[in-house]
Amino acid sequence: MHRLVAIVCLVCVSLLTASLVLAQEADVSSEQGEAIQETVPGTAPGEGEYRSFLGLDSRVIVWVVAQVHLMFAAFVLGVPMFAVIVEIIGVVSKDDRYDHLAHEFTKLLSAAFSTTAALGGLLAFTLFGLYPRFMGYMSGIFHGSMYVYALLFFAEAFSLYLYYYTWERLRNRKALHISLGVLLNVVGTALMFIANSWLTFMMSPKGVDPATGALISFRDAFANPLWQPINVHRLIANVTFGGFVVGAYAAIRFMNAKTDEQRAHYDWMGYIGNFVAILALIPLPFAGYYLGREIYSVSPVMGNNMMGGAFSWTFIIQAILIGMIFVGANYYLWTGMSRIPGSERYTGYIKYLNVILLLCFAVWLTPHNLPLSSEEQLLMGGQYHPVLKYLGLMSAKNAAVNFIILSTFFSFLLYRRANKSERVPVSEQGRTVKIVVSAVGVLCMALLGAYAYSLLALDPTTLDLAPEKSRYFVLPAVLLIVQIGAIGACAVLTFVNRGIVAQAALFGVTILSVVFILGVYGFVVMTEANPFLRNIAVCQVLLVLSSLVFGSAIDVALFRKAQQVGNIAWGRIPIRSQYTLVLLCVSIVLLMGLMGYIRSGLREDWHVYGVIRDTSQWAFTPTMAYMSKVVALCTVIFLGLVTFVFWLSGLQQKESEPDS
Amino acid sequence: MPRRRMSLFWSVVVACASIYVFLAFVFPYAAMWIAGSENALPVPAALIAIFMALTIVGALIHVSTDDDRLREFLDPVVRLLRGWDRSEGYSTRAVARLAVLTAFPLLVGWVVYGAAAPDTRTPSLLRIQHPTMPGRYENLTNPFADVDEATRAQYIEEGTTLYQVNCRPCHGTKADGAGPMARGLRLKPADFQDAGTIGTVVESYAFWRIKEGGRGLPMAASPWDSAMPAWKDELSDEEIWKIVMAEYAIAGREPRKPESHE
Repeated sequence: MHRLVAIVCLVCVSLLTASLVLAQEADVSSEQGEAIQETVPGTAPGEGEYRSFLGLDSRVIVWVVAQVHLMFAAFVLGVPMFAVIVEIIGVVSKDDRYDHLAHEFTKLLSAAFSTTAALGGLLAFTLFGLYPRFMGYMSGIFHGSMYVYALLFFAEAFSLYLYYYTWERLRNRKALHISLGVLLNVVGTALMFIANSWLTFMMSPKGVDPATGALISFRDAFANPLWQPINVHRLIANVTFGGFVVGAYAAIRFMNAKTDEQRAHYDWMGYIGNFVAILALIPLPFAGYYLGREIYSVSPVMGNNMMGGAFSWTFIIQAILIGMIFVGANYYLWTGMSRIPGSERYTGYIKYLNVILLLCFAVWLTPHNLPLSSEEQLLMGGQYHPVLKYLGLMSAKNAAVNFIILSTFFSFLLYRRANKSERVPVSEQGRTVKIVVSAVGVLCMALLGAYAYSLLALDPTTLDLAPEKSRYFVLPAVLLIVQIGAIGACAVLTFVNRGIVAQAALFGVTILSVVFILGVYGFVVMTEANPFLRNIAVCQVLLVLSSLVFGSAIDVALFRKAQQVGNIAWGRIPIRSQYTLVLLCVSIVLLMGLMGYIRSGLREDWHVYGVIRDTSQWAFTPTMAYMSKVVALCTVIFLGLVTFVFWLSGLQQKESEPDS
Repeated sequence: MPRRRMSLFWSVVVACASIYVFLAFVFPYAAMWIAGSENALPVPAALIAIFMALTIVGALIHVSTDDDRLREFLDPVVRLLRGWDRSEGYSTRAVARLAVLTAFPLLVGWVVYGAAAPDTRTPSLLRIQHPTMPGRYENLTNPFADVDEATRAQYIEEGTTLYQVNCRPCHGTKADGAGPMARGLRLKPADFQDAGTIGTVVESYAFWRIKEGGRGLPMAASPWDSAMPAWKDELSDEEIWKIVMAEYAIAGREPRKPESHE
C-alpha cells in the first residue's frame, strides 16, 4: 500500500514538475515567436466572431456556467485547507472527533470534485464555442499554461482521491496522510493561480503590444498586475466560502438529526465551519482593499467605475451582504453561548457589541452619493449632504470595517472564555508560554517597526507629492511606534498576571489609533496628500492585525490549563442559530456571485481591457435588476446542485449506518 | 410603591420610535447647526429607510440572543393574538385588541396605497457619481503637465481667465459651485473644493466632462441630469486643459494621480 501511495505521490510531483517545465518552455517559445508575429489572429473583429446557442444570450450562458463553476471550485479548494488543519489538530490533541470531522469534510469534497470538473469542461466548451475569436486570442497567449493546468488537474484528482481513500489505511501513519493533504492543497492552489492569471490578464493585460495585441512576454502576461492581488483575495475567500458551506451542511443535518449524539456532532461541525470561515473572513476586507487599490493603479477609470461610477451601487449591495455575514456570524456565536455553562458572566457585553456593529454598518452602508428626490436635493443645496457625506468616504468606511473586525474578534474572545473559571497564573506556567508570547510580541513589533521606519524614510516625490507633504507621514508612524510600546507593556502585564488588563489596554489603544485617530486623519490626508491614503490603510491593517495576533497569544496564555465551569452542551442550541448558518451560506454565495460580476463587469465592453473590444450584442453593462436576477440564478443553481451532490454522498452512509 | 418596568416589547418599540424621531426631526437641525446652513438639512428618505432597517435588525438580534428574552418580547404579541381570559378584566383589553387588529390591516393598506398611488413628487434616483469615461479619453495626458513652475503659473493664469469668463457663472468664482446662475439649476454644480469631487478623478476625466458636457454622458450613466454644456465647439483642447489646471488651482485640490503597483 505504501508503495502505491509513494508511486501516486511521485506521479503528482512529476506532473507538477512537468507543468513547471512546460510553463518555462511556453515563456521561451513565446519570446522567440513574437518576433515573427506581427498581426495576431483574433484581435481584429470580423465575421463569425460570436455565436449563440439555441438563440440564447451567450454572455448569460458563459456568466452562469463560469460563476457556478467558480463556486464549486472555491469549495473544493477551500475545504481541503481546513480539512488538513482539522486533521492536524486531531493528531496533536489526540481527539478522534477532529479526525472524523476532517474525514467528513473530505467526503463532501470528493462528491463535489467531479461536478466542479464537469462544470469546468462545460465552461471551456461554451467559451470556445460562443466566443471563438476571443478564445482564439487567449489560447494564443496562454496555451502553454493551459497544458500545465490540465496536467495539474490530473495531479489534483490523484491527490484528492488518494487523500480520501487512504484515510483508514494510513490511520497509523498520519504524517504520510497529512503530507498527502498538503500535496492536494499545493496542487489545488497552483491550479487556481494559473486560472487567475487568465482572468486578470483580461483586466490588466501586460506583456502584449497594446496596439496589435501581439505577445511580447508570456511572463509579464501571466504575472500581470492584478494576478497577485486576486491570488491573495481568492485564497482567503475560498476558505471563508468553504467554511460557510460546510456550516450550512451541518445545520441542515442538525435540523434533520434524530438523536442527541447526531445533534451534538452536527452542532460541533457547524461551529467549526463557522469558526474557520470567520477566521478567514477577518483578513478578507484587507485583501479586498489591496485588490481594489491595485485596480485603481491599473486604470483610474476602472477604479472610478468601480467605486464612484456604474458599479458603485453594487458596492452598497456588497456592504449589505458583508454586513449580514459579520452580524450573522456574531449572532451565531452569541446564541451559541447559551450552551456554555458560565457564559452568563459575559452575555452583558453582547448588547454593546450589537450596537457597535450596527453603528459601523450604518457608516458602511451610507453612500457618498445619496439617492435623492429633487425636493431633497433642493433642501440640501446639492447632491451631497453637507454632514452625512463624510460617512460615504473611504476613510470612514475603513475606520468602520476595522472596528467591525475588532468587535468580531472580541465576540470570539468572550465565546472562548465563556466556560473557563479558575486560571493558572501565567507566571506559574513555565518557560514555553513566556517564550511563545514573547516571540509573537517581537514578531508583531518587528512588523510594525519596519513599516514605521519605511514611512519615516518615505520620499514624498515617489507618491507624486511635494517634499513638504512628508509631514503627513509622521502621525501614522508615531501611532505604529505607540502600538509597539503598547505590545511591550502588555507583554509585561501578562507576565505579572495582569493579562486581562493587558488585553483591554491593547484593544483600547488599537481602537483609539485605528478608528478614532486614523479614521479622522484619513480625511485630512485625503484632502492634503491623497496618494498617501493607501499607506494609512496599511497602517490600520497592521495595527489591527498586531492587536488580533498578540491579543490571541495573551488569551492562549491566560486560559491555558484553566478549570472549566462545565462542558459545552453540544446540540443544545436554539434552532434559529442553525438558520443563521444557512443564511450565512446563502449570503456568501450571493456575495461571491456579486463580486464575480463586478470584477468581470469592470471591463465593460472589453474582452481584454484596452486590447480586444467586445463587439457582441451582449456587451452592454447590465442594470442592477438584470444583474441581480442572474446572480440569484447562479446562487439557486449552485445551492441546488450542492444539495443534490451532498444528498448523493449521504446515500451510502444511510445504507450502511441507518442510525447515524 | 415599586417602580414598574416597561416591558421588553414596548422598550423596543419606544427605542425604534426614538431613533426615527431623531433621524427625521432632530438630526436635520443638528446638521443645520454643524454645517452653518440657512435651512434644516433633512436626512434623505432612502437613508432613513436604511438606518431604520438596521435599527429593527439590531432590536431583533437583541431580543433573540437569549430564549428567555425572546419569550418576554413575544409575550405581548402572543397574548394579543390569543386574546385574554375574561376573568382578567377583559373589557378594556378586548377593546384595545380589537382596535389593534382592525388598525393593522388598515395600516398595511395605507402603506400599500401610499406606495402605489400616483404621486407628484420626483422619485429618489440612484445617481452615478462618476459616469464611465470613454476609452479614447482614458489615456489622454495633460500636454502642459511637464513644464517649469513659471510656465505652469502662466498657464494657470490663462486658464483662470478662461474659467472666470466661461465657467464662473455656474461654478462660482471660488469653484465652490455657488456661481450666480447656480440658483437657477435644480441639480447644483458640484463644489470642487469638496474633497470628494474633482480630487477623486484624474485630469483627463475633468477634460472629458468639460469637452463633452451633460450631453456627452454615456447611456450607462442614466438617469443623469446635468446642465453642463459641451464646450468642444467653443474652446480648443489647449484651452480646456488650461481650464482644468485652473479649476484645480482655484479649488485648492490636486487631481487624482495614477498609482503605481505595490
